[in-house]
Amino acid sequence: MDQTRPVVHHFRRPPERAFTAEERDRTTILFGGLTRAHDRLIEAVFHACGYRCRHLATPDLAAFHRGREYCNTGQCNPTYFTVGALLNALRGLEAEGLSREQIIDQYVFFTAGSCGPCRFGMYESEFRLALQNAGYPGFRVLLFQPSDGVKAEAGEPGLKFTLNFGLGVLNALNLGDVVQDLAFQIRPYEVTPGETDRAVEDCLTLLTEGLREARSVEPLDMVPRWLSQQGARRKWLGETINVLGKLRFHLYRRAYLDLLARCQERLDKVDVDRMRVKPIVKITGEFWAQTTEGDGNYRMFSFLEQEGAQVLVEPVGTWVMYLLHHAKGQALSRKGLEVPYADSDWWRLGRRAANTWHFQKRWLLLSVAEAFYARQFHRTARSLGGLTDDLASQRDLARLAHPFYHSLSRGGEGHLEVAKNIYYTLNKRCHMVLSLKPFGCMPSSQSDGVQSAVINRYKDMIFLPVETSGEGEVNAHSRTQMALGDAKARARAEFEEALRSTDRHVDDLRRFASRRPELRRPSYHVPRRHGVAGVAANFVRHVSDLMAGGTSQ
Amino acid sequence: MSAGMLLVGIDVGSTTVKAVAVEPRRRTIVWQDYQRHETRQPEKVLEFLHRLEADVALAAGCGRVFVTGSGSSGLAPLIGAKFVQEVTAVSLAVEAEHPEVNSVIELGGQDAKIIVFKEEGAAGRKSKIPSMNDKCAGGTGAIIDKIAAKLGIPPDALSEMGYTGIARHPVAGKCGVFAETDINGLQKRGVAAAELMASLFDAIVQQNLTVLARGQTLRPVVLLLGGPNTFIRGMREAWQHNIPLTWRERNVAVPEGTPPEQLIRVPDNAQYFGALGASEFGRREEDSVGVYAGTSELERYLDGGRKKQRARSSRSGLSASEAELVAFKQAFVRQPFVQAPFEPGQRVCGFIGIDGGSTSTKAVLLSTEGRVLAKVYQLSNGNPIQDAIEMLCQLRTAVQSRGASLNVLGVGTTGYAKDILRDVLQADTALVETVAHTEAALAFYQDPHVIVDVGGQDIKLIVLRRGRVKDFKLNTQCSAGNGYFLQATAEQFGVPVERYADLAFSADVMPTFGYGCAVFLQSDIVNFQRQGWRAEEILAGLASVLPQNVFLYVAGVTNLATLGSRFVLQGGTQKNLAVVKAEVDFIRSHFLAASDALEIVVHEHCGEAGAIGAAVEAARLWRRGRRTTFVGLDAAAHITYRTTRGEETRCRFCKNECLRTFIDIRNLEGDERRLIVATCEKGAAENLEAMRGIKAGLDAAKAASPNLVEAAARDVWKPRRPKRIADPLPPRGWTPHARARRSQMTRRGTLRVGIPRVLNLFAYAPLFSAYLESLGVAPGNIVYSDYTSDELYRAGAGRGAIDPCFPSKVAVAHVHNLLFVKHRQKRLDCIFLPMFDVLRSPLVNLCGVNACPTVAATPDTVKAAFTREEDLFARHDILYLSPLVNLTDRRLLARQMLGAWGPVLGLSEAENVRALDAGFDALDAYEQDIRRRAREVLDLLERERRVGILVLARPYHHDPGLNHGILDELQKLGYPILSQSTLPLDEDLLDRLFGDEVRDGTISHPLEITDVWKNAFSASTNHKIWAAKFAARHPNLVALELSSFKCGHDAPIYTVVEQIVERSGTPYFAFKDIDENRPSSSIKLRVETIHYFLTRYAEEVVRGQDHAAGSAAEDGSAAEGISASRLDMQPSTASS
Repeated sequence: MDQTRPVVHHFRRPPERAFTAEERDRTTILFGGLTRAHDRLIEAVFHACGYRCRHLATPDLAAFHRGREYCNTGQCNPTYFTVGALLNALRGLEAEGLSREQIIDQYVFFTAGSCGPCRFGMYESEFRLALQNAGYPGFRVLLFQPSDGVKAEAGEPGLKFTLNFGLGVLNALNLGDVVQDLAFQIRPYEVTPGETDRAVEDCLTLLTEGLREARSVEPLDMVPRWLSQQGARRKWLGETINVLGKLRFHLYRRAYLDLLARCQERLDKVDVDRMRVKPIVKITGEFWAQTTEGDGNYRMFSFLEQEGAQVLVEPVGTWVMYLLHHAKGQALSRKGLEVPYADSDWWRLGRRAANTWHFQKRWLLLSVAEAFYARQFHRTARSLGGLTDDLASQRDLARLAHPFYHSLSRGGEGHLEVAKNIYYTLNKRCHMVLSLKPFGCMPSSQSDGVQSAVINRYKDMIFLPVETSGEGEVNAHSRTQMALGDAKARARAEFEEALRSTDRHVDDLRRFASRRPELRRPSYHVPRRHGVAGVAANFVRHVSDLMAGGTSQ
Repeated sequence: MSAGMLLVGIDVGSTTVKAVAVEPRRRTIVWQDYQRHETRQPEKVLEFLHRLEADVALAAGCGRVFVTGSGSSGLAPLIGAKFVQEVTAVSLAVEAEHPEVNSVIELGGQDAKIIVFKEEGAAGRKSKIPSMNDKCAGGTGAIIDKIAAKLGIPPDALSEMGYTGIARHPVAGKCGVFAETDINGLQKRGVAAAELMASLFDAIVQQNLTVLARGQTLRPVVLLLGGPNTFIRGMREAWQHNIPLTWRERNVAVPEGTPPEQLIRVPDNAQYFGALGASEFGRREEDSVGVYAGTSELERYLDGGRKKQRARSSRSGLSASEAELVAFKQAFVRQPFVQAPFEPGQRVCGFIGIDGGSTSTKAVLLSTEGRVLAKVYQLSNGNPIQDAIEMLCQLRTAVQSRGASLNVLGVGTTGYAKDILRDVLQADTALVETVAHTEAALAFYQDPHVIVDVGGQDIKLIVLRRGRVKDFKLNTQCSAGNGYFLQATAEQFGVPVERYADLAFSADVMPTFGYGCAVFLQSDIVNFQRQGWRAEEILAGLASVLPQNVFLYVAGVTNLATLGSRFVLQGGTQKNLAVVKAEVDFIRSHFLAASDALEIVVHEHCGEAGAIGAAVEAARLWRRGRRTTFVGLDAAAHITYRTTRGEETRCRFCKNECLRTFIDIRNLEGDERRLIVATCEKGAAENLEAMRGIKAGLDAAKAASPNLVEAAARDVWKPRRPKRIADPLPPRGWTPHARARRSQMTRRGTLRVGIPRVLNLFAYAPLFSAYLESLGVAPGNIVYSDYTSDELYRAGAGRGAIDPCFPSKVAVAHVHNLLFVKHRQKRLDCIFLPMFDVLRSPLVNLCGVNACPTVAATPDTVKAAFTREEDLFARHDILYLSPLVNLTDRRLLARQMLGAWGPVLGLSEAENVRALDAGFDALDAYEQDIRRRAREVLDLLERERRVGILVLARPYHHDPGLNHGILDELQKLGYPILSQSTLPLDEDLLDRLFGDEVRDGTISHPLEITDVWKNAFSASTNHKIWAAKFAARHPNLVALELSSFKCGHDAPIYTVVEQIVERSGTPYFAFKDIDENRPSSSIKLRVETIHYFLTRYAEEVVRGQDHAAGSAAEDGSAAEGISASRLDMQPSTASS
């Protein structure tokens, strides 16, 4: 302790340097955090919009250790993994010969933000702290928030949330979701090992090239001159042309639809054998843990496939729809509270209409957004073969979960973990639900507490929560095998029941299927029977029907 | 292939391999064995297979093998076996052999499993709800092994250790490290090994019943499986005692007259159930599955394949080259200690320091010039008094054996047992360890900056400037990766600790451990062993993780240059050169400074540094003229004592009725005196009168130093007695709705509402109580659960299904208390536990005022806990109300409250709004009152120039059961206590603290935090940051942060809070990772260290204020209310 207290310079958070438009051409945007497919597709969108961009590698255990070294103690695993992945990427740049000053000057990191209440809302500070601690003070962290996009402290921001960018990302997310889903649907049944991965790789190459080629368009330049002039004169007309033109370009242009058709053709070249009895494992949990494909969840997807399961992954789209639905729920809970005429008499119909419109406007906007997103997802899914299920109805999910977990309770996945567990079990869409939750995730832990009541209510449920602590993989896999044993037995029983009910021998079914090449195509639509989850069990019944004279797809 | 092929089931566990060979037709066991594999799983499996080939003609293609257990999946393909998951295997065996069983508890070395079988549907098919421990091995056999080894209990004796009828003491079963800490403390208090083990068995059972069972009821018949349950009598008895308690509470039908031993039992062949189940699985598979392929692949794997596999995930060893190692050793190998050459007839005068540490006792003889003349060290035999007596004898012998005589001028003690040793030996001082280590470093080295002390149990990091303590960091509860852990691991490998370094240096590669929790490290060790890592490689990896635990986990510092440039490494663990090498490399690689030359030195008496510090302090006192009170070497050698701890020593001075330890000491003359080791001051009294005297002293100390946290925790629950605002009762109802409303309104006067004393209700209870009271609910009918206590937690926690932060999981216990205690005393109609979604805050310019999601969702997890198997609320005819509440938006809150209470109280919209107004008025009045009192305390501090402690903690940390009484302890030492929730917001005060910053534009308002924190979403987090700013600017406050284990809203601001406070030169202390476990030894050490530190800091404050007052007087602007009197602080605990 000093003898006299010096003049105190109180702590201030370090100033943030903006990413400005002038720096755009010489600055590379780093980002990551979704699946490899999503990240590649989003990267292509960045490129299409004229940005230099690079996605980070899937976080691994080394990233976790790096993150722990430089973050605050007591963080949840996604923090350590994602922060560590960024730091390792920067170390990689150093190894390539760049100085720290060059890295700080020429690179920025782009990530999603949140308004809380889980600590995801504070991730930004953790990135900044770790970057500071690791020797990259002042490295820029750009935050995208659905509410207000990417902010720049002053001047024109280097990264602008434009309609071209937004629609490109919408496509990238939907394409990523569907391609991921198809990969996991096809791979367990592929006849030639590795063929699915090769097909998916080819598709991603096609798609990224397609997205990259979708350079920013300005519809006003593409319409007849008279319309363009009118649009320039009338703001509303100009904006309408702009929005509709861009929508058409990104979502409906011929080249894009052809691209999807080519992808479907490529995937259809994979030969599948649907007679393999495999339990379907629905993945739920905390957003990042259920999405990442690396050590962050013990490479659980590949482990499950290796153990003989079919994995039903969660699309990012569900999360987007949840956010929209939650916003609607919040709006509904406040209906009539924030109105222009709070104490309007009942006979003042104009004022009452204005009060109602105040709510309806927001409700309508959110409903349109919901419908638009869902439609685009379903359209993408159909264009790529129609194997991917529609996004689950958020209203149904909330209704199922609410008796157990308040559907307006915020943070993390909210009520979704509970809802999905019930939804997929009740609708016989899987044999087992595996919830992947990172160590220290607050809302996910609480969901787990509620699940104990859920599994007692729904006796048929096979539900396993796995807390991924970043280590201890052997134990996590062992616990998964434990539940998978039951799921396998259930899938096997379902298959046996299918054989019994059709009264056919498996060899006869196989023989028949082998004579019908279309049955070996991934995109062949096998009708799903009520109460039957397994692919093989549904296939047996369908083939049996065909043998009895039914018609194929 | 023959359908009658031999079936072999092998269970490869974390510590043992079990195998059975079964004749498939008659299902008879023809071969079986069970052996410890000593971490060599593949080798043991190979040995078993060879014996099976020889004994029962198992051969490739002739026999089928099914393997299970945590270590088996990698081995299965090598021998053609089929892997069967453990729970599946055990379930099959249970279903086949014991269909009457409804629950299975299997404890393994690292694993614990509970399987609950439930009847399902009309067919009566049983479904199973399995539960298995996650990575953490808390509550498994590993803890038993470790503690038994520590207590020196041989395996034979361990199996006979009992539970029934043996006194038990509080031991944390949640975590092996915490359990070990508790056992250490109890052992030092003289608790017998049998009682320690019984306590441990109890703790393990409680842990599994509360966490692993996930709230499920273990219905009879319960089967106990696994090594610990099979072989240890006490484990079985513990289950047989505790499970029936849950049956009684949960009304489980039990066959009348059947003793628990028959309903909770170990079956024959219990240790083979995994192996039997694996073979049973095989029996149901097709004949082509699991056909034995012979041992050739396994042998190939052992010969080289394993090495290749692990090489993929390795990093180089502790030393990059031989030359580097040689250079390191030249620099850091300590010269062997040479005892002083005592001459015959010489009269040696000196000071003795004794360090009664957690795992060893050390003593030194220091000359009057400060030279170490002799030193002795021994591993603790569990009794510190005996250890100390023996060591004094050894020191005397060291002198007298050379014909010299010893004159002891003073004695100092330190370490866990410092107080008891001071009292027994009548030593001159009992020095807190941190201070002792500081003294030892200062006595031997010039101006050290950082002292890194790694002892058996504790890690301490002391930062000094110009010879004075500037800051310190101690491990909180967890002694992750400490010295004892390394020693125990080495011993587990059969390596004496002295050979640790040589062996670790011989490793070319080592696995990468994740730093942190020792229990996780233990799990990693098991994983690495499974992967074939060798002992020396694991030991090297563990050594390399230790500095990460010290600097990253405990200190949280990544750039070590911020601490200083001269590092002194101390503590017994520094004798291990492998650890020193890892530390030196870590410090060098994390010392990011351009100019300062780095110096690292290992204290030449690193193992005895604590004892040296104690002796240095004794010498200082002697130089000041103190004559020693030491009983003398002769008397010490002849001290006899008797330790008693049992019902007869139970303290009856308060309702806690804690067990005490009586130590009756008899000296050479036969005089007896009694020492009482108790958990609080009052317990140290022998009779009522003495206790009254002690209590009066405590009360006076408390009165002189108000504790606002305690006051808030008490006052927040008081009735508010607001004005009645209810609608008048309609004379009659004309419609069914009106009649129903009238009936509900009539009930208000008698309605009894239970409210758990948890979470944010510690801040907002006045709002809800006034709301209800204003509507006509009688104040006496608002019933709060008891304050959190061990008993309350233990009684109700078993209902919970998850393990979140303590404040959240304790809510289950509080609702249990309302249901099963309060409701039984007098009927409750409803229980109210709101889901706090948005809180309120006096701060401005925030991004949000959110409650954390754990807090928000707790009412739903509570509801799940009590409706899981049966709706207990319905059974007790109690309505459970848990509306989502937004305290910032009053109109929305009105709607939310109306939705919840309307149907119960028959509320009209208008009276609901009026009731909320009354609630907010009451809340405001409560907050104003507590803030007014806090202002008085601040004025007192300024007037008397004292130091007060500002507690940076969430409202629920006001709960004395949650803050573990830490604040009480500090209050008793003379520090007034304030908390972030009680801070005054008076304009003049805020202007004094923040006015300049507002005026220069740094912030726009005193209640703003944008200058230090951007992501201001969380209400209590924001408030904590603002309070940290307050502490940083108020000269009479220091900051003490409390944070619960797993607090996701505190973790992101650990650094920023520390930076805000410390940048201003204000002391900052923290108790993080607070959980249900109360690590009393660790708390005591920290509280004493804080007191020592603050005593010196207080002198600085006085000097600073004198200086400021002087300057101000010169300027003609004397600071108001500051007197010239000296600070009235207690003397440091450093001296007795």
